[in-house]
Amino acid sequence: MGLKKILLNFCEIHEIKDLSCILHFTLLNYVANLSKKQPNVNLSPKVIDGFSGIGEEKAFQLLTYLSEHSDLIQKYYVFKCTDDIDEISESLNAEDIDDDTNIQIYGCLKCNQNHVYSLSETQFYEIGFNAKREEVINQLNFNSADIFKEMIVLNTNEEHIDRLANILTSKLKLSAPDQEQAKQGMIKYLHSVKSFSSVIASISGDLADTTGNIKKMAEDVTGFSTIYESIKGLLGNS
Amino acid sequence: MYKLEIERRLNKTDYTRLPRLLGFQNTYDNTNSTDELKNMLEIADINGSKYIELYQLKTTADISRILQNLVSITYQPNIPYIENQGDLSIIKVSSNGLNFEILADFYMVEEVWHKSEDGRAQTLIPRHLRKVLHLRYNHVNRKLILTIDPIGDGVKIAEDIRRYINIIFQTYNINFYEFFEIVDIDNAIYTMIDNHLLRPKRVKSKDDNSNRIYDTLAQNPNDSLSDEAIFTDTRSNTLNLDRMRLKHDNFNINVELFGNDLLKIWSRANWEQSDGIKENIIEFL
Repeated sequence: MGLKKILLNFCEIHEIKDLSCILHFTLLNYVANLSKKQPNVNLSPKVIDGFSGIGEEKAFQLLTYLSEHSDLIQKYYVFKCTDDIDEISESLNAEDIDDDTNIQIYGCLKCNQNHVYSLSETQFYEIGFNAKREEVINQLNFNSADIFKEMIVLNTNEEHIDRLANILTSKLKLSAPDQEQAKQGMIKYLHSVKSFSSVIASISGDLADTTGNIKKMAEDVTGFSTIYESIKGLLGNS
Repeated sequence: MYKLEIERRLNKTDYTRLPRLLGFQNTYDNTNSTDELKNMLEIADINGSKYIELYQLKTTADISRILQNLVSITYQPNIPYIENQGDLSIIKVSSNGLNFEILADFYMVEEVWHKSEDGRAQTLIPRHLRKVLHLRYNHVNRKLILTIDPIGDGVKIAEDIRRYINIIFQTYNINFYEFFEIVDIDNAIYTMIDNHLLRPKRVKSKDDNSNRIYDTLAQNPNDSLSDEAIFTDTRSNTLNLDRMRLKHDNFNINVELFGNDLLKIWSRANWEQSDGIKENIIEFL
């Protein structure tokens, strides 16, 4: 099953189907923005919550669900030194753990001793997630049918527009004051501009794609606005 | 007693494979023959968690002077520990006139975690633990690989290794360092990282100018620090490497580089894993 379908299933099970599009944007944008040098990238529930507003707990449930249904997203454990639980001992992928009650760590990064863990001792570990960057982008990328569907959902909810504007402005890598100004400009035009779909389509692309498409979007409007003023430095380079 | 020592050194999945590998009839659990267990221990002795150093025969050195002095000794481990056992004993010497292999063992007092009878509390108790030093010289590449059980942490054990080498070769009235010089393996490690064989997961380095220590850790087990400034600055010698923890994905073992020339295998590596990493290092030198 592809990630889009798994994501939709999660939203149906948790009765947050109206958020599926914003979660889709969030995940794709998040993974696409992480270092291209790394085949595997880290996924944080906190960041997903920051863009989607679903709460860290729900974001954690989402990543857990994705890791259980797709091998493109993996769960991992960060074990803590048994002598000092503020310090990291070692981390392991869930799939590399054969026996939940007898997990051997050789050479704790804190104390250099060997430790044995059990997953029932939850005080000694934290859970994290990583994603296979390219494959996740390929599976989550938007086609024109997706964009049409997402547009309908987005246009029915102001909150979604606000969150999408957050995602798009984060891609522009502006300084904090400019970011808020650009976001407000973005919200204004997300309601009306025809070329909005090309901005969404380029969400997994590089910065030049996004700024280029936003430039087209800005030019589509009579009279340049706050959005253009905010990002004109970037547009000059794109 | 031999079983305890084998099980301390290797993972169960590996030591239970040994009887079949050596052509013995019984399974590991049903093996009672001392000779068979000794054969298995010999393999366990040279694998598991080890420090590794690599030496090159000097161009002017005449290796036959060493080979002529070696007297064959059949593998005879010093088990169990006996009080006042002495510093170090040579427990095996073999040579075919071109290559040679020497095994030595000794005991060290270490604190070991011990669980209480109800399994609730753990306390540290001192124990005499057997340590093995292994030397293998290959005349084809004129290289000698030294492995030694963990006898402490990091670069400071290099001095202890020198002391043990001197004890071994004093037996033959030979100054080891007239024949061999240590090889820097850090460039081989960096090439292995470039070739995606190793992934740096922790880099700890020092800036000698500012006296600052930088330590970066990857929490994600699939991450690589090769795109971090601390890694590139260490590689270019802008920073001095203290220690770099690395994961070998193909062999599924963790290793750690100390300085330029000392590598530690942290995992209880089996013979395929430890031979593999040694071959890798020589290949990428």
